[in-house]
Amino acid sequence: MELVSRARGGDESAFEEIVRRYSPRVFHVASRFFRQRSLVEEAAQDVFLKAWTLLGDYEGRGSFEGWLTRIATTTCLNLIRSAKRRPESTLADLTDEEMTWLDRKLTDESAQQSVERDLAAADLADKVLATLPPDDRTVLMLMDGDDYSVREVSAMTGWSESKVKVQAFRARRRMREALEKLLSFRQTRSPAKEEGER
Amino acid sequence: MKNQHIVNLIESKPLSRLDDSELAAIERHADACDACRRAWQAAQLSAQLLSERAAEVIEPSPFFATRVMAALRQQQATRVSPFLRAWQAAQAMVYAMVAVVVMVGALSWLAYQPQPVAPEQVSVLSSDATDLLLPEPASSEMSYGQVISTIYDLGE
Repeated sequence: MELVSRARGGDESAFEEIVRRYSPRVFHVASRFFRQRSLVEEAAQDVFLKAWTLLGDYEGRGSFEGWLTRIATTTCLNLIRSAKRRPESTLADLTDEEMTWLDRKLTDESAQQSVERDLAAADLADKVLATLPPDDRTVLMLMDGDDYSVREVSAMTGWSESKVKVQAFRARRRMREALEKLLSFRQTRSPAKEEGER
Repeated sequence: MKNQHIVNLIESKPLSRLDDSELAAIERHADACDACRRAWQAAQLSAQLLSERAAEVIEPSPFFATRVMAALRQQQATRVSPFLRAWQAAQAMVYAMVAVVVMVGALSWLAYQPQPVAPEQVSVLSSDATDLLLPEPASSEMSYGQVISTIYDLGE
């Protein structure tokens, strides 16, 4: 808190200490929105520059981390809103690794419960998420990915709790429909069929 | 529950927050309903993809704070510069105007200065030449003696 009041008074060294202390938190939030290091760093930098200009508005009611998290979430959300959305994902967009991962999930029921960290899965998740509206992506990543509660997401985004619930409901539906479409494509074009065509 | 479609239930909250009774009901219904089984499969896939994606976190580099502070200083410098630039432009304009005024003044002063006559030019000037150069006094400006002599000349 002392650091914050010093930074509010224009003390740059205090602000530098704030950046050091809270950058892991800001990077964590930015990583929900972007995967490339350069994009995450750029977004995190924007967050801190914005925080510096808004420090005067921080009244100290809530935690500083919460205040910064909200700036991080809204900044990243605005960045993905301004970026172009990908068109619908099709099988042609998937790499061999992603196809293999999908096939394994379709054939091996037990694998669906595994907690393995699979790069192909993260790639596939990113591709499907990129086809969704930015607000859907945000709420899905925060609630279904990071397991934040409705109240926490409301505090992070500045949306009302009812808006978060409705947004999450719609986002899950869109994500599910996109995946169902992808799965039905894959099932009709199974590896056995592809082998036969060759 | 077996006859109720479970799509709304699986979309109402993250799958990790469904309790055992809800999961059991979903499984029971999905066994009997093709559409809901596909939806359930996609929802499970979605949950897994999102959790894999959420596991990816990029850590800040040790130089990140330095980079932010450099960007902050640059931002502050560019924020001040419009005023500075305007001030510098105004200063330049004032200097230019002063220079123009000084130049015009100097030229005017030079133009109204009497031209100095060179000594050789002066020697050339004879008394005849002086007569030519100096205007003859008008008749009204004749001296008293000249007037008297003129009268006497006329009388003779």
